[in-house]
Amino acid sequence: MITLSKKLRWGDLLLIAFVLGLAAVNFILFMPKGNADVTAVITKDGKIFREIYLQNLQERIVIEDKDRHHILIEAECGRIHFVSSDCPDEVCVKTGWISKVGQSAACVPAGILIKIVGKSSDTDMLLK
Amino acid sequence: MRREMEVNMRKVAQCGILISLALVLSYVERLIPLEIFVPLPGIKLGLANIVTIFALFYVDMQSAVIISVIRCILAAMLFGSVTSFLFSISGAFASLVVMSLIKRGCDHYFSIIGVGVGGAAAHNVGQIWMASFLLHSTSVYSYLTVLLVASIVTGLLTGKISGSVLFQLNKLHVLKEVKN
Repeated sequence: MITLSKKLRWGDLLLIAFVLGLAAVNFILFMPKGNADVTAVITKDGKIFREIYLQNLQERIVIEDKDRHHILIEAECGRIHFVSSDCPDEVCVKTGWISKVGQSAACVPAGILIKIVGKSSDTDMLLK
Repeated sequence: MRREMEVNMRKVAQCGILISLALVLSYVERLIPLEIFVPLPGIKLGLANIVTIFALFYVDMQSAVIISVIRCILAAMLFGSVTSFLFSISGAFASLVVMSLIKRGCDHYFSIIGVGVGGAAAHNVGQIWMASFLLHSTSVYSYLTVLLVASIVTGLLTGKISGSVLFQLNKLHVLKEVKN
């Protein structure tokens, strides 16, 4: 029989500290970096589907995908987002605009990932 | 023989009740518009984890595994999809492993709140691992930082609730029945 304590034990605090530490390490490794020379890479099921150079983008680019789900992606100068999707959770649309290197928006049901890459994304190369 | 069958039947009934409770809780947490207060897409309270913690402490590991697997399957069939199933099953397994490890230290080092926090954090790590696996990319890990911080808050909440539930049930001496 396990004795239940209603109070926090020191192990709990240590665990919370550990999770915070893990979050910090994760932040350092995968931190979204400042936007210098950004390109949006759209991949579908891991294969590159389209690459858009976002810096100094003059016109608006709209990309449509009707394969598994009806998805609309819109890119404009320096940023990109999922406009709409008929997937069940719509996490991709709720993520909103992304613009910094390292940021990503994903629609897992459709297998589509938008990733912002730049020249400074060496940690990404390292971890692949 | 008869005694054994009685125990088995009790276990089946218990699992059934706990699965339905977990399913109701995963439905209820969909109704809570958490994204209004915290602007993080896909964030959940993890209320169904309370049932898993209860099963882990007062039934056994086997039932806890059965309950979370069936809950994941049913929740995906009722209000999810194949991807949401893959997410929740990988999260569920990661959190079960971590929670059972933390539970071992529950006598001396941890309280039930630690089990909640560890379970919630492991669930998010499992989910993000699955997302990176499905998308063949490590960039989804950039989202793990906020999820881990959020999991401390949700884990504290579910751990606290589980603690209160177990404490109250202990007082009523109803858990002797559940324990054997």
